Amino acid sequence: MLTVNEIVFSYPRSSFGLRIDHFACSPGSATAIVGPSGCGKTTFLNLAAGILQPQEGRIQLDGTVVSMLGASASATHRLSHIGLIFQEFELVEHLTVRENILLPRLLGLQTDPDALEKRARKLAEETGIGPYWNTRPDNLSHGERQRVAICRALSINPRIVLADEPTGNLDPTNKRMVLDLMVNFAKVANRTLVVATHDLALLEAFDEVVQFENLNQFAPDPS
Amino acid sequence: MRAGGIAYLSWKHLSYRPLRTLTLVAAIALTIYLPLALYVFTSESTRILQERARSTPLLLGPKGSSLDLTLNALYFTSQELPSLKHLAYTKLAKERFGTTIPIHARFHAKEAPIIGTSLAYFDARTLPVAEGRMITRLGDCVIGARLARRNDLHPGDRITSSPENVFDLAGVYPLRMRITGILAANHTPDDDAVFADLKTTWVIEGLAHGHQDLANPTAADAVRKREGNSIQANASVVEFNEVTENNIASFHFHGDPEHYPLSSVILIPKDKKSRALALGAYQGPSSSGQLVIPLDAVTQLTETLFATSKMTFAAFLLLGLTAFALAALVFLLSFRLREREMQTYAKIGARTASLVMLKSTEVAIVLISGIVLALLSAAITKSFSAGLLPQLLN
Repeated sequence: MLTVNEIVFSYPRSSFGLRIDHFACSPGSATAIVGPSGCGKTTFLNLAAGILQPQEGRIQLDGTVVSMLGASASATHRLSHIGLIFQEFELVEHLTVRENILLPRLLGLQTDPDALEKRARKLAEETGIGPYWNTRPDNLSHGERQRVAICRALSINPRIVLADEPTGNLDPTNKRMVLDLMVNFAKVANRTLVVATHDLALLEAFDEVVQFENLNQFAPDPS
Repeated sequence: MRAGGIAYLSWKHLSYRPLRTLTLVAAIALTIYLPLALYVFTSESTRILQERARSTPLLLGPKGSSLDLTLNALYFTSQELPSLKHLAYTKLAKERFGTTIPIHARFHAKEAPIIGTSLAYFDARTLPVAEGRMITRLGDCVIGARLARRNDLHPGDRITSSPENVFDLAGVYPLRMRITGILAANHTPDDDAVFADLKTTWVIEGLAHGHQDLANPTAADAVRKREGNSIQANASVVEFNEVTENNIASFHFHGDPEHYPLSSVILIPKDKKSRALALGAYQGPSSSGQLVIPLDAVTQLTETLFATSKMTFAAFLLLGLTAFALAALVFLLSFRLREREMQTYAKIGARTASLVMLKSTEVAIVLISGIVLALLSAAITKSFSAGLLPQLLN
């Protein structure tokens, strides 16, 4: 379960600030965060993942206070428990589909390699990218690339999946497919899914929709 | 942090851009190889030159450059100095300072030097016959192992001396020599030379020759004039270009053999006293030749070699620094271009130390590959330098 309480965050030398009094989402649920560009959706996901640290407040994931972890511990936590999906897919061009999906292990994830490979292969088959197992991403379509990125995020069986505009670069058919994959994973594996999106047509697929308004923003004190 | 995974990621990126990686490896290898090869070649040349010079304690030759004299006697380079008279050899031998070995290194066969000498040369150089037998008569020769291998020559084959000048019809006469043996390889210029008796080289020089017997009635057409016991031949007389069992008796020398030419004489003194006496005997300006210590001449050469190589080494060092700076720039630009990839790794969960390790591993793989390539090339250069040196001296 992801719980956020009274967090305050601002970037250094920036007029943008984010304040969230309370946010929570439970395992097995799919939550959409919507709002205009620049309202802090991506910043919130980065805070939840531990990539950014809030100046105040507390972010907790299944008993681990993410906001209190140091940089190294936060990275290890993220590698083991958080699945991240990006709008631009963020695949590594010189690695094959297989290597991209198994990237967390190459980066140091401590897990049974055979079990991880088996799970990755199963995910690839289920998402229809099995035939491209040893292909490089530059030979894939946008939809296929995003499916590789989803397989990468899900292969570690994360406690939470944080997706930032995952359908932003996809056509309507692929949008629906990608969303169904993520929501289905959350339901079947009883995991938490948080998706930042501005695509209102997709909201019906989510259990909960959180509107990030300008209310969440504040102008930090320049001092 | 999994070192294997990081190394794998580094390797994958390097192999994804093979041209860039190979260019970097080649640039680093070349940067290290050039000064290394220069050092290897200089030190190996010094070792080889000094080793052979040490086995040739003293050398008698005509006055002039001691280095030219040494190189001609030790490496059979072209003879730059005038010839020594055989009389000088006889005189030195009579002094009984030690073993005296004549050297006449002027002619060539198949571009290999023909060395006219005595059997003592083979003992002094510890140069046994590996195949066939030693020379026994005029016109015989034994050849070096590398020369035999290169030209597929065997005992019983013939090798012909090259005329010095194709337009000099009356000069050096081509002599077809019988190869009686192949010498064991000793990895010195001896491996590329033809060794014959001193008299055989005088035949090549035209100081001795054999021709048909003019007293024989079958040679009547070749007789120009008969006066008592003296017979004068005309131009049609048949001169022999090969010494055989049938014609060896017809070979004869003209003039006084003591005035026949020699390139030098190796002197191996029997003791220190003989060495000092010999050096003293040839010290004065009135002496007809010079007695040089080959090791001194070679040391002088290697010192010059080292002085030159030091300057070249400094130039290579500057070039190397430039190459390393450029390689560093290439890496820095590459890492800047891959900033987004690194950010992705960091977002997924790579620790900062892992990213530093990833970059360092890539640099290390390229550097180590370059160093290994340079060391291998230097080792190959070292193995070739022994054979290359005599060619460079020529």
